[in-house]
Amino acid sequence: MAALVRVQGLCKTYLSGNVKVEALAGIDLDIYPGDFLAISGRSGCGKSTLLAMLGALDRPTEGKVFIGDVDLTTLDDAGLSEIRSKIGFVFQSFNLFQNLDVVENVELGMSISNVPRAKRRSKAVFMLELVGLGDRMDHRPNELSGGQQQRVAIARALARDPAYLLLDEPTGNLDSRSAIEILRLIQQLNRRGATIVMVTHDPAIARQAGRSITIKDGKIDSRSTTIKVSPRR
Amino acid sequence: MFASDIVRYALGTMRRRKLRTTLTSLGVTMAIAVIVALLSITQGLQTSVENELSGLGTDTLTVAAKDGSSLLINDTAKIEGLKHVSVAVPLVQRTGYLKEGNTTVRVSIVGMDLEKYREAYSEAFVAERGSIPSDASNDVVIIGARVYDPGDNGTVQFPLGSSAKVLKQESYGKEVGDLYYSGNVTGVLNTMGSLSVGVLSDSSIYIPIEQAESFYGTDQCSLIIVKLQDDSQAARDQVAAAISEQFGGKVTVSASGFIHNVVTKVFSTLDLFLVGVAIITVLIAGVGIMNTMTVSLIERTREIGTLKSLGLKDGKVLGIFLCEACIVGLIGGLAGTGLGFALASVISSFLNDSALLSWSGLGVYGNIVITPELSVATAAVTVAFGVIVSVLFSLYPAWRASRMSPMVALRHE
Repeated sequence: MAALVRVQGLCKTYLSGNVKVEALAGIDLDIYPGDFLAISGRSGCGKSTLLAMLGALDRPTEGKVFIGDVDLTTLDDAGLSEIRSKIGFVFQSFNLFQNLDVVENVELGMSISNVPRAKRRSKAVFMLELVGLGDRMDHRPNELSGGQQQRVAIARALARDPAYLLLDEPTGNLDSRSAIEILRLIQQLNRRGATIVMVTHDPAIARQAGRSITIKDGKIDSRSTTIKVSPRR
Repeated sequence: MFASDIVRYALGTMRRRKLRTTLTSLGVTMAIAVIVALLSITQGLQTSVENELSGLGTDTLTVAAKDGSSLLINDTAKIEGLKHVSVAVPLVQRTGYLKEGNTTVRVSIVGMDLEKYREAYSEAFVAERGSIPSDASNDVVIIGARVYDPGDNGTVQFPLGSSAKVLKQESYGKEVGDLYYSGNVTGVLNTMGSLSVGVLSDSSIYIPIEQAESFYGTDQCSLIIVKLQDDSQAARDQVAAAISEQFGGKVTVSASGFIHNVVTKVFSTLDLFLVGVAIITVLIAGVGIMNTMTVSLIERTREIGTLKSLGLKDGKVLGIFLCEACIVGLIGGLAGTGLGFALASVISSFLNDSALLSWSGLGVYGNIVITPELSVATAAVTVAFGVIVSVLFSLYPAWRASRMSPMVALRHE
């Protein structure tokens, strides 16, 4: 099967004052359609930087990132924006717009992609029902619990039928019960065919993914695959 | 993102930041209000002065003695002998009182050849009531409209046909000796309005020149009004030069065109002053807008990052910020235009009620009534100006927002 995303020799160096910080030091990685990949590691290891490269949010210092046949490193700002409109982002702190109500938040991503208004509303309603928030559409984000807000963010990301979902610590701001619910929702989406890349610092959560890599000092330290055994009846 | 979505998004953001939006709009409102108030007062003043000056005509000259010299009533004969001169009217002007029964009012007393003056100002020197006799006897008194009926409400002080005492300035409270004479009120002039034509004023009375000569015991006059046979510039210049030469340069000759020129120059200077005020006001408001937009940009860094992570292009981010600036400018422009005109009305009303705009000189007496003016076109321009100022001063913060790296913006705390 052809890889959906290919990362080759990816390096990223930042300047922090006069000090060079090597966030990524040669990452090679393939992501396949339907993957559920967890990227874990300690704080500052470079996992969020890798996610930013996969999401066309930043440019690498060296190396290549291919989405299909498109090399992201050759694109200008407008080209990167275009790519981002085809990727679903979910952030640790939800990043919802407080000036919009829940359904409008879900619609916003589609409006950026120029989806006609009538179509946007029906799709947003469908997505909110999918994540179990069909009855909270007219609420403002700050009227919802953390778990519910993260569901809205997932609905927003999914509404544009993205090529893949990038989740940055999606359970980081949630209590344990909400975290389990969100994790179950992510697993459900993956079972329905969504390609998911999730950054987490929590090894227990990383183990819930089909595949996981651990980053250490900007390099992949370990790779593992979870074999799921169905319980005997 | 469609344009309608950008507008909706901008409106939503502004609704959420009501206080900030109100304060920013207030900056534009105040700037536009100051400009509109000054503009409409100046425009009203200019129109008022121009309307009144138009009554002066362009075919008359005013001759006045320079300091240290004097004009004689007989000097008119010299002037009337000049080429292009139709008639020369001597005027003796004094301040005094008119009294009848218990009513005494302070007036400007003008001694003139009534028939000649009517020839010079045929349209303005017309009786609204009674008549201006052509062969006036010495006891004739013509009165201005406000002397006749001060409140313009039918309360007549000096009825036609009444015998009124004309008092010298120094006679008030005395009425002795030759300090007064009795005259018959035979005519009331048309209402002149805010500004007088020639020496005509609503608060003046007019008596025959012979009576003025004997009453004041003088052969000198205050002014000579010269009516020309034609109103060409060449004729005006020629006669003015001839009079000046005849009096050895001891007189000032003013054409009404000269007054027009002075007024035009004054208003041109006022316009420059207005431009200066507008620039300063706009700069102050603009810096305020830029400051607010920059603070807003910092506050909304993560929001910008999220929008960009959703694929919003730089141009659209710029569009959102400029759209907000546009709306702020529109609100400020509309409110400022309304407030400015209201302010102009209040200020004009205050000025009109006070005596600040009463004046005299160059044979012209009166007070100016300002009616603030603001045409629809001017109002539209000021509103548009508010929008332009707001957008211009938001360009830099909006550009910064559009150029922000999504990665940096998302990591902003």
